[in-house]
Amino acid sequence: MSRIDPPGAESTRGLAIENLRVVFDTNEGPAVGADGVTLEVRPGEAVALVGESGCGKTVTGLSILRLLPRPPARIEAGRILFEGDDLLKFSSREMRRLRGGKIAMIFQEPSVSLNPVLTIGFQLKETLALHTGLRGAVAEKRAAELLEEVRIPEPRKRLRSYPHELSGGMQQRVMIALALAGEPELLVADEPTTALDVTIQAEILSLLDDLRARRGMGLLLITHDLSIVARRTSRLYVMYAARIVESGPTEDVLASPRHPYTKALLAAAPSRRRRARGLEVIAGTVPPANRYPSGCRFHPRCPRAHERCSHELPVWEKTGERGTACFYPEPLSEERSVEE
Amino acid sequence: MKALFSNPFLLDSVRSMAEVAVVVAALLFGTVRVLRHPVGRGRLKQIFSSRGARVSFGVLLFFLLIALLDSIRLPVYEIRAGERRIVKTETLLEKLYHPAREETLSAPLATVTLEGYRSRPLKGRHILGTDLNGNDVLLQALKGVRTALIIGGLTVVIVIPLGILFGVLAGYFGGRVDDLITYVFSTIESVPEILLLICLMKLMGQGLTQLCIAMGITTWVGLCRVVRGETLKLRELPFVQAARALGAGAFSILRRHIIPNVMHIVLITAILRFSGLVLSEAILSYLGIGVEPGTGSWGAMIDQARNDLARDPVVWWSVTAAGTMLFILILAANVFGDRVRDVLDPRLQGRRV
Amino acid sequence: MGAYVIRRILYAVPVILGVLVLIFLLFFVYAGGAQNIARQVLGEKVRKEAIEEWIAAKGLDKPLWYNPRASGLGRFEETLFYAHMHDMLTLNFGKSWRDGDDILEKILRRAPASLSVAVPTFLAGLGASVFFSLYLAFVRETWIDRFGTVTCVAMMSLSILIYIIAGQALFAIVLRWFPVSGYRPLPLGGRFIALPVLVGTLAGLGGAIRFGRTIMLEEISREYVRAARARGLSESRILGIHVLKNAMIPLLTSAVLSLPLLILGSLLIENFYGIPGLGSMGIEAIQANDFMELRALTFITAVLYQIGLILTDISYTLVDPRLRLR
Repeated sequence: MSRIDPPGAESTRGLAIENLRVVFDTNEGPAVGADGVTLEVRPGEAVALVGESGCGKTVTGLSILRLLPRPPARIEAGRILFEGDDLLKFSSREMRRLRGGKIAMIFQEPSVSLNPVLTIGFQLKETLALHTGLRGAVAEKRAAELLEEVRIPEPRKRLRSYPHELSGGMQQRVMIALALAGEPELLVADEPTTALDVTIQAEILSLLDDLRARRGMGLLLITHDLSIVARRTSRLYVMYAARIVESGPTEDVLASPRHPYTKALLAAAPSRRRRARGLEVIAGTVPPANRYPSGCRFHPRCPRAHERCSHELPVWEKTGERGTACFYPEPLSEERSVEE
Repeated sequence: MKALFSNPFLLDSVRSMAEVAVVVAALLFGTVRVLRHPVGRGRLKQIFSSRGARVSFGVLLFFLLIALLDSIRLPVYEIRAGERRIVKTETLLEKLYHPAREETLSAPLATVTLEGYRSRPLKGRHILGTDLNGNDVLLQALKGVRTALIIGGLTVVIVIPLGILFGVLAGYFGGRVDDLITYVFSTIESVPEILLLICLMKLMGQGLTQLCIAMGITTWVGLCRVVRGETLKLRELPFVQAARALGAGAFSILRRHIIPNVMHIVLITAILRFSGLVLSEAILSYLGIGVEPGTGSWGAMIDQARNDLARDPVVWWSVTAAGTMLFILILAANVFGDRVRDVLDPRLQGRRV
Repeated sequence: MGAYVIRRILYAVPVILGVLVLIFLLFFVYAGGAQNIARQVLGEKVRKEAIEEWIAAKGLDKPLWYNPRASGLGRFEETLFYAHMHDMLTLNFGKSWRDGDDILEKILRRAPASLSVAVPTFLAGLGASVFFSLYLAFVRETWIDRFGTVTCVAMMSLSILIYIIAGQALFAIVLRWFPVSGYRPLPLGGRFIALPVLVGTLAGLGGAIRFGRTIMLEEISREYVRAARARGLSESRILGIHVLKNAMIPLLTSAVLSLPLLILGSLLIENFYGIPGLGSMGIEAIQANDFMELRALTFITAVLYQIGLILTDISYTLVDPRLRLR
């Protein structure tokens, strides 16, 4: 599917988040939004970040572009490396140039992510002017091309439309076109299809897939829906309660999850294979971010929890391409385990 | 006994205490209701966790104390022809602080009356001087407190039930009822408040009661509009729909689900309206159509003193005293009201507005 | 669009009629009949004949709602209510009680002075509040923002009486920047209206800025702002174009809704600074018990207010494309 760097070599290209810790100062005390998050998106690669709502995946996504409202959010520790530079050390001017330039982002609700009182053409052209310096008729032409690239019919006419005149799917296409305006090398897509109809979902996802392949652009797909990551992403990170609990090649993780949480998540997700058996639910609820349990944060809901899990935080254990944070992980199935 | 009731002074005292008693009773009633509710207690704690709220509440309490002192009227006896008779009443405030009455203007802490008025020695010292009629300015400024609190407090207390009733009816039942109520308040609203107040006061004549009625007529409108809007929103919420689906009657839905959930909006509106009422009273009294002459009022003080501003030396103390008192009361009410809104209105919660 | 405007105007008609009924109830019914009104105007010690004469001269010698002595439609037409509705709707405001002048003429004569104060006050107030609230939103959560917010609350807590008096004392008497009071028609009278405009603007500014700031902050928390940031737009562009255009709807509404406040301000300001406009006419009417003038002024302001509301509604459709279809 995509190129994989030799293990161990520090890649200077693409995105690498290391030990990111984000804390929110709330009235009820500090709440942890991301805790020791480490992930990597290599150039041209599609990576999924999966977890239930509130697990910190959006926080991680927003941290990349430093879009978290501050206060209350505070990045306490970690590094966010993009092409070798730590974005956390960027000045706000450098950061602005990067946003919508080399790194772009699209959001869950296209209907509220577009400015309702400005035309699509205005919003596209102002973004173009900012990142490419194109103005006037040239910008107009380029804007229409972008709309065409995201498969919007009658792009010239659409430039004069207001967002409310388009359907949800079309609005998300416009958002993608806006993201492409600065020729990004990485696209962070935060739940890009959650607010859309199922049929539209597939179209948007395959559009993203095509664009990534054609432009050689990295894609970080943030979603709660495991069913959409298979075959669209090469690698997968699973998040629970602000921590990454499992990672690895998408196919392998889906086939043989090691962390009990991933396993439970898979059992709860509808997929072709499991449809007959019916869905399972994960017992209990996600703990609030200001009162995470001690030890492994999943232990109160974990069917395999031992005494040790309740007071000791499991360390990240890496086995080849795969990694997990669990004291008692599911054993790797024979045929898939990677020999070291 | 009969003589007791026919005594005009006594009647006066009873009335003056009743006016303040209504406001205090309403305050106590509200406080008890809030304290008996666990959520209410939590919110109250949250409100008072801000220093601004504590200080402004303290100021409001202090003003209330002054108003209370100024409401308790005691008879002044005089022995005339061997008979002890009540000649007038005096409030507790006047008993505690009774500066001598001078002949005319004098500057703060001066020992003689103002120049150009045959500098005569004063009978006593006046911290804030005296006005043209020789009245102590500080005492007048303090007497304005009661009027302001009664105007603001009594009106709000009268208006709240009306506003809730009509607002909830219009919002919940919709249709004809809503059309009628909305029509009435949009009509009243389209006459600028101050003109309507002027017209009403012109027709009813001066007086504290008249002012409360006039302001009640203009104030219920705003409250009603807010409550109606909130009820419209609540009506569509799942828990109200569920109650209706379960066959709950309109009255019980209103009582159990709607009214408790509009109370926070009512409270916010009431506190913030309070300042508007006090400011309007000052303007009406300034125009000479507010409270009766003799009732302490900051607006009336400003009205009386504005001509003296052109004198040389400038007679600034009356205006300054009245203006400062007005400012402190309104500021305290605004700061406290803002805090209450921040805590109770979830849309604005967490943001320092 | 045209249909919308017409429908909106038609909505205002019943409200205007309602205002007329309200005015009638106040000035004729509540006032307690012609006898009481005459006593209030002429005083208590006037001879009975003089009162009857005055009532007849002013045309108040008719029943309120129904005239049993007349015949046919006259039973309704020869009443005070009919006369009142008819006169008001045909802008026949009658003669002033205090000087016998035609009231409509008087209003038209005095309107320019009022407008030359009210229009600049409205525009300056709107401009200044938008500017400062944008600025406070730009520097939000800093000490400047906190200082600004506190100043706004303090400014809101000052009575307009204090603004008027202190404004004159400071700017006219101490600093001598403006004349103390008086009026000349524009364009020569600019220096006379400057102080009233300044005072009127300042008096409304605290509340307007604070409201504007709240609106701006509400807009800033919307998703489209985050999306605009994600595209790399600068904060000043986001505020100055994206947020401002969205915030204009509530800001315009509040500006129009504060018009009555402007009227209240103009009553006191015109009176205090000697501007011979409608505000001071109102004050004079109050002092002279001239119900005829008060009635006309109340009606006119209510109509103007409705016109203001209609204009706001129309301006929404210019700002918000989503409303254009309706």
